[in-house]
Amino acid sequence: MYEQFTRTQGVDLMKVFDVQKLNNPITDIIDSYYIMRAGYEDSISNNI
Amino acid sequence: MKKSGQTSPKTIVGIDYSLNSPAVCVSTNGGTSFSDCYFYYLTSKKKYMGKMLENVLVMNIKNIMVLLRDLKTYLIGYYTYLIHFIKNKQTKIFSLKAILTVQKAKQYFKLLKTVVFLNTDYKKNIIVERLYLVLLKSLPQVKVMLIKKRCTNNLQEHKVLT
Repeated sequence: MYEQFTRTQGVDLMKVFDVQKLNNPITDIIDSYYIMRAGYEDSISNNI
Repeated sequence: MKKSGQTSPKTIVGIDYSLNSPAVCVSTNGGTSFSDCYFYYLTSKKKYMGKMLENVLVMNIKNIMVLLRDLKTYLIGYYTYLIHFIKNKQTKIFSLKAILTVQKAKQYFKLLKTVVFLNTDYKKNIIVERLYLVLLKSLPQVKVMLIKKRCTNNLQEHKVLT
């Protein structure tokens, strides 16, 4: 998911947070983004 | 200028809840790209306690207040109280603050069409999830949905449950 996020959004959060290992809070930030996206896609298709 | 018949963009909030390192993604202008969103996270590590980017912020009282002002929502207020409750087991204090917060939030949510999405992991976080649902579903005009999170590279794997 991190790779997809970095590729599609053009932001490398590991660089931003200056870390070598993928861990929280980066993983949580990315999770929250995809949770928002998943819900957004569903709200569009169901006209919420 | 807002045209006749044009609706305001929805405020969309994605919450990745956990006890130690929750994160919140807020999309307010109808877009879903990284730059359209604000991210708030909680951490115990000093290194991460600051503004990492303009839109990536650690949760603290100052930016919670900014968020409240900007979004006119008390959602993060709920979240902070929830974390406080879980960590300190201060049930009575939590309940009182939560009730006050709900009252204030109801006024603000009248003005917004807000959609809230939560991640879900029934085995790990069922109590937290129930608390969220009770609080958020009591608000008018707020659609709450559960997203089942799966750790894959495929966005479609995040299933909408309700």
